[in-house]
Amino acid sequence: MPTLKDYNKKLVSLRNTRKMTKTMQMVSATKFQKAQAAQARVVPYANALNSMLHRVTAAAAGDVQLPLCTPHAPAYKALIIVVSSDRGLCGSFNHGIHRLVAHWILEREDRYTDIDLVCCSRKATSFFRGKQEIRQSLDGVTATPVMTTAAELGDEAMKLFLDGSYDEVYLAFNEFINAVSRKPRIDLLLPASPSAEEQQALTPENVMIGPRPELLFEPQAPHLLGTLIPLSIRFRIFSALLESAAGEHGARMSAMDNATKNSDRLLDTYTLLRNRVRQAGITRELAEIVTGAEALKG
Amino acid sequence: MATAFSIQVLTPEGKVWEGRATAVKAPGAVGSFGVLAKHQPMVAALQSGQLIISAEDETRVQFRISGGVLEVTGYHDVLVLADTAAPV
Repeated sequence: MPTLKDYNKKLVSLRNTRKMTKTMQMVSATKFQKAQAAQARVVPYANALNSMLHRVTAAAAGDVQLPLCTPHAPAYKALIIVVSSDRGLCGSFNHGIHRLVAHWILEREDRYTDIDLVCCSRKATSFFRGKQEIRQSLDGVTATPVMTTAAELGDEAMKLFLDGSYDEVYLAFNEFINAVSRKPRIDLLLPASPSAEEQQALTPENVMIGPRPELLFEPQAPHLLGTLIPLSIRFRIFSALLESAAGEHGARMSAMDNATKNSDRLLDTYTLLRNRVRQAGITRELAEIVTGAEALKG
Repeated sequence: MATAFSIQVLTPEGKVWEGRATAVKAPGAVGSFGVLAKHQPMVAALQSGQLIISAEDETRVQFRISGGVLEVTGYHDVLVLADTAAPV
């Protein structure tokens, strides 16, 4: 039977835990807001790039023979860029994406001779170490993504694709839906398909400003795509990093919110138990005094 | 007074510059070129180099960009997309 002292100790430790989780929740909330602001800043660039891709692709009219868009047949070696997070305590955020990638690899093991990984986070590195060939592992790039990281990753991936080290490059990340939900997904990055980009850009406003006959291209549209596609590859990696960052902070925020609520519940339960023990002690002492007084009287 | 047009310089990390300018000099992939007002609509690839904007208030704004594209939309606007653009 725990004593009053045991309960008090437990309560102190619970209060400390609650303080920590509450603080982490607040810190994550701030980081989450920053991540969302970064996502919002991307929007004008994304729209401009997409509509430009759409127009140039339309002008190139299927005359696209860029090495970056040419599938290697048959595809033997695949590279997956995995984006998760450096730190834990964010619910199923890391586990979800790692499990999806592991499952994806398991399903396709007989199709490829090699499936290598680029891990953009500590958690991904430690999860896949010993299971899969890790070509490169990065650290400290996911919490607040910068474009230079994405550009380096993109350039490296394009270089490896072009020199034939890999036949396909995939990008695995958590798609941000809202503060409490994310969707892990794996996208094909290379070979790039201009038609897919084009479909993405088919919003009503983009269609309205579609190809115009007097539009000048410098160099010619098919060559111009050679500049636009690397730009869009680098941008897709950057936007994946941003989505993942927003998702991570959102996930941690809700995980810590749950932890705080749990601490509150436990605090209530243990306060009740502690009070019960304390009251039992008081009652017992009172009983002893009363019995003692009775005995003296007699 | 030269005619001014509006120009935006965008990177994935946000809007770097926006305003009205009378001329832009950009490092085109096939050679450096300049854009004045009423330029024909154009999409041009850029290589890394200096982007020089002559703003309407007669100041000069310079950026070091790491490749990208420049688009002249309509007869009034210039849009520059670059991976990075650092003020010089």
